[in-house]
Amino acid sequence: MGNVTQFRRSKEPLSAPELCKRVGDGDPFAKEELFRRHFRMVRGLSFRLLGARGDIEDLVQDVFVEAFANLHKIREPEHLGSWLGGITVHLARRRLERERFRARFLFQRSDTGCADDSWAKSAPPDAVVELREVYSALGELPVGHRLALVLSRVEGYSLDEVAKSLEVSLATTKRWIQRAESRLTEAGVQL
Amino acid sequence: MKLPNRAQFPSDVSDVKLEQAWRRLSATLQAPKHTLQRRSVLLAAALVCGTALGLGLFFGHTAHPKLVTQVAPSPSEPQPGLRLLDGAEVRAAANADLRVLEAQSQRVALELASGKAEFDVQHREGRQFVVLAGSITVRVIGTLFTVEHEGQQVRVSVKRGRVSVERPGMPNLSIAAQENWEGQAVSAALPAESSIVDAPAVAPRPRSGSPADALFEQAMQARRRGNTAQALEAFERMQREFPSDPRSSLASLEVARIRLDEMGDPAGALRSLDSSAADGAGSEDALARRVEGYDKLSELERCRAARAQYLKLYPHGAHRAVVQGRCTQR
Repeated sequence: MGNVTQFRRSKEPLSAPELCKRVGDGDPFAKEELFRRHFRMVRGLSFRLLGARGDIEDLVQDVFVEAFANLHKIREPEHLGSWLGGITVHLARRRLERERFRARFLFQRSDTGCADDSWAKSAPPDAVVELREVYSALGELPVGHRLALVLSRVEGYSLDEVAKSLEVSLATTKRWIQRAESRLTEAGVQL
Repeated sequence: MKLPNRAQFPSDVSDVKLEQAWRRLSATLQAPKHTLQRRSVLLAAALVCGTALGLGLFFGHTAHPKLVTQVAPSPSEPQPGLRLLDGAEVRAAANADLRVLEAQSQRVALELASGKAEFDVQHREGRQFVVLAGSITVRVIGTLFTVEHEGQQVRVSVKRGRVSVERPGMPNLSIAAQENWEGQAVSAALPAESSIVDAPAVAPRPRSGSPADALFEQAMQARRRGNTAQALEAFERMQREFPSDPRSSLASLEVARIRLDEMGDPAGALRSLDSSAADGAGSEDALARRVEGYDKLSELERCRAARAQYLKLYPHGAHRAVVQGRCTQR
């Protein structure tokens, strides 16, 4: 009868390593399950890293495309969520740096639009306006400083985790956060 | 101004957003590999293709791919080709005229108008996989098989697994591994002549199914025969009588297609798309039809909104060029 692999939608929730294995085996249900399980986390993190911009969905798509292409390289599949978070931070950084480069050397203004539908329906309008201003101030910071601050202050990462995510030393991480904090304080943002 | 922490961050992700994102990702993952590669590789490939096309034009050999899924480059034997998201692999000969009629999670339907194609399909519960060759329907049960369609002659060769061959007005045949079947694809009004070759005859399998199955098949048969009125009636009944059936969204899309292409009734087409809440109604094809409908009704604002949605969800979609050209003031 040949070696036909049959894939079925699992009724029991799969563990992260099992999910990774099944995706590696080409199981389309596992791929969908992985996406559905982690979409909100990835999208939330993308939103907090970039702010309410129109290209958040693009970043989310890039994260999952990258993740599916490199899932065989994951060393600790039980920490799949953290691994996806790492990809999100890496791609967000690349996106912001590319924009900065274009603005500085090619005089191209970034036009990412805004994603008003990303705010919670229950969010008070004044809170939304305030956050827009905060992100506008964050946009003035160097990319590394901005991400270090958001990961530390918003996401609650430890200094070690921030350093690891941004692939810089602990000393650099501390310096970046300190500088970001003082710039934001000057801009009137409470930390 | 205060920078909130993660728990206080007022973001919201609806289920609709999740579904849209999954559809978009599925389309991206299904797209040919080159769309996922780096720009430099694309540029190099474009350069090579441009040179090849230039040489082809110079020597008078222009390629006319009729359909999006004409996948193999030259000989008449099946070549490595298209891999569907669910793992099914289709290898079509260069001269094969093969098109994808449906690619939904519940049903994949391909039409082989002529030529030869090989299908390697894994069985998936809840998913139908059918290949249409004229009036002959090959229903896949999980297998590796070849379909050849030349003129009215259809030949099905099963290498592994089993397929069911369905002919209008005749009992279904079950073809097992190492068996071949050869018969004529004719209009449904005439009985199809067939014979099993290189293999013992197999017992006819009685056709079974729910009323929804029967109605859907009736609609599809009418559509294949070109009987528009009958197809339209059956698809509309499918929408009305079985709204929760997974194929209802496909029926709404078919109604929209018929009303737009064959009846010049864009308002009816849009009504049909609006009436379906099932997931196919938001599919790439449905959205492209929506743009077309609003365009034909000269409802420019809605047309532009639908166009923007399409281009956002399907930046590399099959209808991109057509959709982009719509919603212009006349």
